[in-house]
Amino acid sequence: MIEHLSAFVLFAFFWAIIYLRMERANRGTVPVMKSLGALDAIDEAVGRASEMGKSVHFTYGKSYLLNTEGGQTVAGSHILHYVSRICARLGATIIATVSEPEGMALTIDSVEQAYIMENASDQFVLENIIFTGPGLAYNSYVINLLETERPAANIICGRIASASLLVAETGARVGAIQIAGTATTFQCAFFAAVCDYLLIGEELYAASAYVTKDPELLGAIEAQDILKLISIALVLIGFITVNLGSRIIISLLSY
Amino acid sequence: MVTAIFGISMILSYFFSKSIPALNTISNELMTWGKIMSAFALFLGATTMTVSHIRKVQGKDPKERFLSSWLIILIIVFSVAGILFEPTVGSYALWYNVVAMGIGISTESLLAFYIMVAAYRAFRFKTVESSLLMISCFITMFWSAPVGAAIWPGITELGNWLMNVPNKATTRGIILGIAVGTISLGIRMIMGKETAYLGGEE
Repeated sequence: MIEHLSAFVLFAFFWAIIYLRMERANRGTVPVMKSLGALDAIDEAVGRASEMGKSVHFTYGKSYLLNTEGGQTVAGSHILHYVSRICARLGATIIATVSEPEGMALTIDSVEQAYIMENASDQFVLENIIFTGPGLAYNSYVINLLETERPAANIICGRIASASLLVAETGARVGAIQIAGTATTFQCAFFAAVCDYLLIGEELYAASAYVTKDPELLGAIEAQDILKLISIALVLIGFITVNLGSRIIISLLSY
Repeated sequence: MVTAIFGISMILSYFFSKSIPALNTISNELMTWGKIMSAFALFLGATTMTVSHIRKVQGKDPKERFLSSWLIILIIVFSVAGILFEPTVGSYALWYNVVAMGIGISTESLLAFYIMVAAYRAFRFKTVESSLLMISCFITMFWSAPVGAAIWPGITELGNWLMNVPNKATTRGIILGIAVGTISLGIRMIMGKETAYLGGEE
């Protein structure tokens, strides 16, 4: 009746853990999250842009929403919303480049709502949300934008592929503070070499909880850590049982 | 509410599509809706881009006026030509494959130079971490290049070990965290706790 039964059981268990931890945090036991330098640096980066009279550039990379990588775009939009709020507060200009059309509405909404929440809706400029087109058009446009606009801060948060080094290296060359975040493991190495701050993997997904300090979201992050420990325990138990000649864990997880 | 209904429908269709075929139909329909919305979003993006370039044509900077005019002319010509003629064969396809793709590939080739510059800046014997990065970079470079095995045959085994043991282990650890984070984000959005993409809550 249920396909992928083991996955369903694990998923239901994960949901239960997340729900229970969120409820626990709601009732007062709020977990403490370790500091993420990259997110703390956003205030500094936007402040620098505001003082220098320069803009802040934000990009997702590939702003997919309709496939499995859409989660990175959504996580990036949370950071974009936070960056936009600080830009609206400090009077800095934010320029967001979007490569895929499906990310356009999300980006416009994230930025516009941020300005409305800061009572600065008159400062919102729709032309600063730029649809570049995918692939090669995106690479060329962003390189040109960084070279001509010379923003003080370059924030790259989302699913990014080969354009990672093109964007990050150009940002470094124009002297921008660079904050990157991606769950694409191949690109983390390039960002680590070039950017000032980096969010690796799950830190990108924890960004909204970190910047809002919402108790329920912090509870969900705590649940994430518990789930990771459970996953590691499963891996270790599987490793031990396989070496002892039993495939029980593999059979259970393949059911 | 909409997010919750659509999200739960997609999840249920993954687990129950054989026993409840209607869920399969629903999920396929939702994916089709997504593609239709994506097409409208493309129209929105193209319109925004065109309006932005029209404003630049009306501006004072001669370089921007020239480039924006050129872009608008290209958009109009290629759109009309694509509608009137077959876009996959003939002159249209030739223009696209030779000119547009050629320019794009040239842009991607810049990566090689960007990597060299980034490596020159990043690889220093300053700290333990940066030294490890530099040493592993050299090993990987010699392992990848055919001349590496000619210089020292042992580089193949060392490179294979580096890629298959520490690199793969670390990558799998990061992927584990990413997977759990993605599931958590999805559940938070379905439960309505993540609202930043809707404008947030005060």
